[in-house]
Amino acid sequence: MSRDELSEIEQLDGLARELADAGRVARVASAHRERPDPAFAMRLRAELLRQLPSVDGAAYGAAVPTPPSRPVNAPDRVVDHRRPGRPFAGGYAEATDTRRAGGPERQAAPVTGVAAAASAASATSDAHDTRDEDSGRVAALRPSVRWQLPTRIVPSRYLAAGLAACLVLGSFAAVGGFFWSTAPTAVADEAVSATVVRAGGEAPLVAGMVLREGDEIRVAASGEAVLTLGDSHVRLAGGADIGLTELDAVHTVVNQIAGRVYHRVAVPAGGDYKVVTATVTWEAHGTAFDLDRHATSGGGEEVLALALVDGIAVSGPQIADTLQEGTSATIQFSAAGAVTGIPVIGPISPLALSDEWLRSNATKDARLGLPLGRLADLVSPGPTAPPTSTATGSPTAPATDGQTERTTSVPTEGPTPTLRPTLRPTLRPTPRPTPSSTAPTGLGRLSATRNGDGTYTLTWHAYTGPIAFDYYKLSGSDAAGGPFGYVEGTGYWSAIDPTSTTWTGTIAPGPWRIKVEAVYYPSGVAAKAAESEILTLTVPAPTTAPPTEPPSPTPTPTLPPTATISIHMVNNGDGTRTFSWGGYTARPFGSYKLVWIQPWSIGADPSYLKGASFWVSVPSTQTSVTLTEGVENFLPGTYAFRVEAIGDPGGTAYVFAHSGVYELVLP
Amino acid sequence: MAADREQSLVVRARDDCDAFGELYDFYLPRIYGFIFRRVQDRDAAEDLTSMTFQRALENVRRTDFRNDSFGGWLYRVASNAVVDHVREDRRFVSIDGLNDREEPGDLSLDALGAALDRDQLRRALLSLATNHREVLVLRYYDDLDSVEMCAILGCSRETLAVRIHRSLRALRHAIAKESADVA
Repeated sequence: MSRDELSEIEQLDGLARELADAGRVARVASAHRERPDPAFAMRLRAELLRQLPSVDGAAYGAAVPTPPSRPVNAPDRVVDHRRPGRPFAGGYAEATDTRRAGGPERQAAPVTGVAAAASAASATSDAHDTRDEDSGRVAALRPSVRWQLPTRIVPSRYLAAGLAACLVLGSFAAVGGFFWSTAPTAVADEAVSATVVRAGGEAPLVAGMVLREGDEIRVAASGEAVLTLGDSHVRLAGGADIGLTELDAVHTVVNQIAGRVYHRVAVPAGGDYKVVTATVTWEAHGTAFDLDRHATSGGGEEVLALALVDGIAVSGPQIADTLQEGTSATIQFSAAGAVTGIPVIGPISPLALSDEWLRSNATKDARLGLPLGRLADLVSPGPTAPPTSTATGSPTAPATDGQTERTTSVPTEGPTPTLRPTLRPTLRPTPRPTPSSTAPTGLGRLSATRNGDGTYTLTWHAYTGPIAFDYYKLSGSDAAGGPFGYVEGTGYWSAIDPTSTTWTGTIAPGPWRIKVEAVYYPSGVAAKAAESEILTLTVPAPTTAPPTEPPSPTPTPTLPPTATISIHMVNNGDGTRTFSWGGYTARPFGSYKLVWIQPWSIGADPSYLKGASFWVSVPSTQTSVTLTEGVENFLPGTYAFRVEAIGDPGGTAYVFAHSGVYELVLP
Repeated sequence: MAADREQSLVVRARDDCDAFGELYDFYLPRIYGFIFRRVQDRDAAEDLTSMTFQRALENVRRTDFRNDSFGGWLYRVASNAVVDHVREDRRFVSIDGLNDREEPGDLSLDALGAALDRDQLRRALLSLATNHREVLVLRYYDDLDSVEMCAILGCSRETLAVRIHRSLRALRHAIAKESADVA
């Protein structure tokens, strides 16, 4: 194949991707208008099923108010119609075209405007006559609806035989279920003020109701529902609305239309579990995550995702990433469903975790004996359980200084025995894939050497793959399985030149899990080309004052420890972004400083006291500030933001409180 | 819906309302959406959807119904119904220009074009010949699978692959022409 041909294929593939993305956006934009009217759907369903022999009233068709039994005998009745001759949607018109309806003895039948028009067309054209009806061509629809009165009486002698046949068939069906590939069990476990929409008809959702592909579950604001989809649990908060787009033995696709839903996923080998929110898809194989989709003041929507146990993959027009456990993502959508702005990904703030909804789910999961991940802290430990019972460290003692205990998998959670009164003994434990399975490995083992000056040197294999990556990302996590962050303990990571395979610096005391990733930006969004195995390292506390302590901000002994406050960012959609944070009220202080830097150097740590590149000062009475994109120091680029509450006790600047670091890519 | 499951339901639907009900539940929103995207009128969409399913009911009860792809067949019925509807509408004289559409897929094409980020690509798409537009809309806007597209277009899978490829090439040429015109 020539180079030109290859180039053409690449171009065509690119066009196909653009069209596919646009199609997805267009479908989402018009999804609300493309739903059939429930009344229409129910009436049509009832009319169609009534024409079949075994009319015992399908679950939803039977509930539909039936039309008059013999409309042909009621010529004077009021015909409810929005358009002459509508077949089922609005009423019943008697056929007026005697050529089609069988002559003078015309039957009352649904006749559509289209059918009538087609009929008229056939009188002037033979277009329809030349078509093969078996090929699906709609010729002028012949009125063929026959009203069948449900007055047939089955002779009693057939009843016994019929019952016997049912028993035999039922036995076959029950036994066959073991051999046939069947859809997973989908059932409503709990339902309070919830409804199910099926084929346009809406009925109350009750516990024990079997759910089908295509069902939509709506929960009132004061309601709640719990569904079981195979081995996965779906818990819907009040106001939630989901559609069961796909349900089969291995694949589950849930369309989260609105509200907050907690997904506890367990799928068989080779299976997957996807949640679609507008144009973005969240995929998991065995995990727990929380999605909150809600409207924003600007007319759009926002989805907040929390990866609570293990990671989830997220993909969409402007995002393709894996959220590690303990990570949150905020994505904003326009009214048309398109992603607006840059998805914000960062560690889950303590404020977000201290949530009654999550606490409730954590308690339920603990009772089921499921791994809790980031939810562990929300569950009251048993009397014998230490607070750190959820730590995922090695069962042996942590590695000592300089010892490199390597591991490539995350040990499973060990819930306390007192929290395992299993409610559903048939539930399989959630499989926990290792984080390394979500990204290719290729940087080999990470080795650490302690230097004489207290610093460490980390080395890894150079990435040799085909991707022109941008930098190595060195990040660390505490031994308890927290999110990976900067190894100096400040909540951020180091970006290292792609030509280097070593890093030297100080690492904060404590047990660490450290890894290196080769990062690139295929479409403006960070992606991993390769990553190293995880290195477990315990750094002892220094016996003397840490050499890297900055000299100027040394707090006086009477000062309180630096508190942690939350930080949030909202893309206003008008070229501005508003940062807000949790207020610090424990002590009087001077002002807030929102600081940001471009983290392209080792040790990037936005701090006002450490000479951050950019900052704005905000009075201590305010907890938000709005920045305008594209001006001054907020030009397109990658930034790390942090807010600090800074005071000047005793003439020395001191950080009373600070937030975690917010990474933001400004396009 | 899995093919074997669908075929089983079609066989049962000859005399089992539950089986036909399951087919209806699965395909109603899809067929209605497919039609609505093309006619952008709720009344007309309901009419055509009713006709399609009425037609489906009549045919599945026939012993000679070819039970290879009920979904694809249903889309074809709906597609033909839309064609009939649009052609019939054009028999009436428009006073507001709303009926001046040339082809039934134009509304879908407009919606797909409106969702494109690139103006150049949008103009190129709108300038394509009808046969190319139809393929691209079915594939990328309606998100139909190959079986359904083959049923609508009345072609084999191999032919479909060629048609998609040709349509994308035509789009690429149209983009190049747009660039040249701008220059």
